[in-house]
Amino acid sequence: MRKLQFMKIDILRAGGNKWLFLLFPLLAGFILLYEKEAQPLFAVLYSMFGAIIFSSTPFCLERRSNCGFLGMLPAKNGEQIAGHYLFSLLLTIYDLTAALLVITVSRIFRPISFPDTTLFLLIVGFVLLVIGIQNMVLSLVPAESSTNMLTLIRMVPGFAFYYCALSLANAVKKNPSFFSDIMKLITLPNCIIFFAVSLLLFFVLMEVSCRAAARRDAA
Amino acid sequence: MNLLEVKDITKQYKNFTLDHISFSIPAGYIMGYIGQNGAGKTTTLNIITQLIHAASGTVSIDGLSLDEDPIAYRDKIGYIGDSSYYPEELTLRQIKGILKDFYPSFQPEVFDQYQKKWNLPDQKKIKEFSRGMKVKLMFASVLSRDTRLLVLDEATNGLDPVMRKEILTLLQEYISDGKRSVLFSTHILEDLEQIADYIFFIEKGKKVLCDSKDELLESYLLVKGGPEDLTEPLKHSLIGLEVNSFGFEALLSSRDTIVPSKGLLTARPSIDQILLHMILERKR
Repeated sequence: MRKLQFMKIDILRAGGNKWLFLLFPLLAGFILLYEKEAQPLFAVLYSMFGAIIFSSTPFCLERRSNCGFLGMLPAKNGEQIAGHYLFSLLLTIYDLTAALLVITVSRIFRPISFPDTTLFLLIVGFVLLVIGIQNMVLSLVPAESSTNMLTLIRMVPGFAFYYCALSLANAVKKNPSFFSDIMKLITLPNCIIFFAVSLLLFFVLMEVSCRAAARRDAA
Repeated sequence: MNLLEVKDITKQYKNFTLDHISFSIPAGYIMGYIGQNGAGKTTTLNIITQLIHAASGTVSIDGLSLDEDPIAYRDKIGYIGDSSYYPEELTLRQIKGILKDFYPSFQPEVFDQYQKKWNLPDQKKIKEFSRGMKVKLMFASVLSRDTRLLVLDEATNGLDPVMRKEILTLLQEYISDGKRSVLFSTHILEDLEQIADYIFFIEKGKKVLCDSKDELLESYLLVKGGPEDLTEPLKHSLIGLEVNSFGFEALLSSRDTIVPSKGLLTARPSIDQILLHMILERKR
């Protein structure tokens, strides 16, 4: 319950940025409307790029553990970290919903279809893994780390994800026969399993981060 | 019964060691925790509030340690620092919501009374609050919970005399039921003279003294005299001797058998003066 209450605090604190969190889905919407070649999956990728960058916001809002109010709230060590993870998950859902809304609106103006469910699950599964690892790194870096270092940890995974996803999509388009064996594995049941495992791993990473933070606090 | 029990706590930093600090505060009393900047006051308070962890030693509040029940332990403490510790982007209403969510003993109606009494705005962000308003908010949030120990770290610094007086009255009201205690660290020793029952003096991470305020004030005499009054036997008995071109000033233990000569001026020292001369004595 307290993990959810910490997530609520993160939502309150990040509240001033709620329009910023919609930046990437909205940009994707504009591109979908004005760029005739743009595919709906692009909107999902672009929104997920934003989700990776912004989901770690609570980790950067308060770096010093001895800041008082939040550190002294009656809770077990590590529950605040769990709240940050839950915030990340919520923001990912928020950006995904925004991306789907953008595609729905674009369909009024352009004859496009919704992204394939298998690819959709695959992307979201990867994003959950990236965010889980990114959050774990942020929870482990020392409180006194520089802002530049934190910015790097927040930005690099997002850009790497976006670049890799686009490069892979282009490579598949150019040379489908080369990827045919891999493509055979991308079936709906496999993607559902991959998504479920990613979600599970996200929570495992959350638990590991909470325990590591609790051990560090006790040292 | 001791409400706060600190036993043998230590903490090592690169250039500083908190060295086996022990003390206790009985329920219904106020302890002043004093020392120079960097003496280890905030480190001790942070260990008590569990913002940092001691390398060794134990702390218990009302017989309960953090390891036994971290939630109940934290619920028993109210902390007020020298600067606002609330997330600056939140409003008072949001802070109230968080307090309600986390603290089982939080009483919203009591919080509302303080908010009304001190004219604290509901929708303004904390970053727009004045220093006085931030201090009032910290007090409103801790006084509307059923805390047992109030920890103040330079909380009255930079406040106007009226507000300071109001806070001192609040602290006395807080302990009046004999079930709660206050640990008060401050540089404004005048405040402590008014309300403290015990004084703990820390210097370079080590305990210098821990005594009741009245006993401490009665233990010393402040002695002043001209250069000609500073005889060798007297010099050996003086504590924290400060000599200038006009004469000297020092402390003399009340138990000392030396009888000050007629030319000397003796007076009851303030805590400020005792502290100053003890620091001088340790530097010798």
